Amino acid sequence: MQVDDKGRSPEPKRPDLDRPLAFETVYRAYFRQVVGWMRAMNVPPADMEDAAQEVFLVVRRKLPRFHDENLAGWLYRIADLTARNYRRLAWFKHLFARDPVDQTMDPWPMTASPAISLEQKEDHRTLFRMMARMSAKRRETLILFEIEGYSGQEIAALQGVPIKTVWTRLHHARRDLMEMVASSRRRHDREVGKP
Amino acid sequence: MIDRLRDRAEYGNRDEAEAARLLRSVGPAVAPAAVEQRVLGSLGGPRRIGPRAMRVATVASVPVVATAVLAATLAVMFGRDARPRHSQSPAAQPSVSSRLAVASPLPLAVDDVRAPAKAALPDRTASQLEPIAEPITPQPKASPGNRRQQAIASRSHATPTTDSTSSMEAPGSPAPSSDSDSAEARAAAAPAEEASIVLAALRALRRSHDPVRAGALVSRYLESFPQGALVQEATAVAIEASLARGDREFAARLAKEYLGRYPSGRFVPLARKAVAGPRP
Repeated sequence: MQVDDKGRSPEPKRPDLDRPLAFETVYRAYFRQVVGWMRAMNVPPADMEDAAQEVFLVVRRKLPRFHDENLAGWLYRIADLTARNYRRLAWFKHLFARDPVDQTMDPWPMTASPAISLEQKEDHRTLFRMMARMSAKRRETLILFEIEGYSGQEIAALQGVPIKTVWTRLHHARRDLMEMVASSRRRHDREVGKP
Repeated sequence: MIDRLRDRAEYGNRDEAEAARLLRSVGPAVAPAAVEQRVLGSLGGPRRIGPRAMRVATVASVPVVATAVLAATLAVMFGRDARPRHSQSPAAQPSVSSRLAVASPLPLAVDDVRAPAKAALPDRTASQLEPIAEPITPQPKASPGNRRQQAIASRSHATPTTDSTSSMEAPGSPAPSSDSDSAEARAAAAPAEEASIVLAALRALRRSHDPVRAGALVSRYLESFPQGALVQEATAVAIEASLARGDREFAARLAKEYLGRYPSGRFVPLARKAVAGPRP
C-alpha cells in the first residue's frame, strides 16, 4: 500500500478480480488490508501473523462457495470473527508468557517510515492505549477512517451498516478521543504543577 | 462530506490539535512482503481442521463418551448378565425341554420314545379336562378356599387332598445315566411349541397351584400333539393334576392307560400310585 508524504494512504480501491476467484489472487489483493482491519480490531501485534493465517485458512476453505459481490465485506466479517477468538484467548495465551509483550507496539514496522523516532513511538503507544478503552465499533471506525484512509462508504460496505451509522460512530469515537486527550493533558498539567 | 481530523489545517482547541497530532503519528498498516510470503507459504500445507469444527466435534463427543461410560458402569453394577432374554431366536435359546427337566422334578421319559399313542388316551383326557378360556397368568397361591372353588369348578366336586408338592417320582424309580442322555436328546428334539405348553402346565401345577389350568393345558397339548415327543410328560402332569383336583377316579383311569401304553415308562411309579389309591 502506497503512502503519501504525510504518511497517509490514498483511498483504497476495490480490486477488480476475475471470476471465479483464485485464492492466491484474493490473498495478494487483500492481505495488507486484512492486517489493517485486524489492527483496528485490537488484535495484539504479536499475534497478527497467526491471526492473518487463520483468516486466510478460512478464506481458502470457503472461497469456492462464495458467490457474493461484496468480497471485502465477506473478508472483513471473517477477520472480525477471528479477531474475537484471538481477543478471547489472548489472556490464556499470555498467561504463561515469561516476558510480557508490549501489546501496543508493532512487531513489524507498520508505519510509513522505518526511522521512527522515540517521540513517535511514544505517541503511537499513547494513541493505541486510548483507543483500546473505546468500544470496538467506535475504535474500528475511527482507525479505518482516520488511519487506514477508508472512506465512509467503504467502511459502511465493510461493516455492513448504513453510512449514517458510520458517521455516528465516527462522531462518538472522536468525542471519546478528545475526552481522553483532555484528561491526559490535565493529568500532565497537574504533574508539572501548572494551574 | 466529513474530513479527516488529521488533515485539517486549523483546529478548534488544543485537545483537537493534540488528537490530530497523535493520529498523524501512526500510519496505515504495512505488512512486510516477507511476512506476506511467509503466511502464504504456511497456507500451502495440509489443511488443518478448523477450530470451530474441532469445537463441534469435541462437544458432540462428550455426551457419547459420557453415555458409554455410564452404560458400562451400570452394566458392571447391575447387569452382569446383559444378554436379552426375549430377543434370542429359538435355535439360540437353551433347550426348553431341558429347562423343563431342570425346573421340575418331573423326570423325562426315557424309553418307548417311539411308541405310538393310543387313541383312547388323548380322547379321554380331552373330554375329561375343561378347556382353558382365560389367558395364562400367574395366580396367587391357592388357599383352602380357592382350592374349594377350584374343586367345585371341576367336575369331581371333591376336596383337594393331594399335596401338589409331592413328587411324581416313585421312591426308587430308576434313573440311569444312559436314559438321561436319551431324555436330553429327546427333549432337545421336541419342538419349542410342545415344550412350552407342557412347561406352562407344569408351572401352573407346581408354582400357581392351579390344577384346573394345568389339566386344561395338557388337554390342549394331547389334542394338538397326540404323538408328540412329550406325551408321557403331559400324561404324568394330567394324572397329578387330577389327583390335585381330587378326581382320583379319573386319575386312576389315566394311570391305567399310561401303564398299558408305557409298561416300562419313567412315570410307572406315579401311575401305580394313582391306580392303587390312597393308603389306608
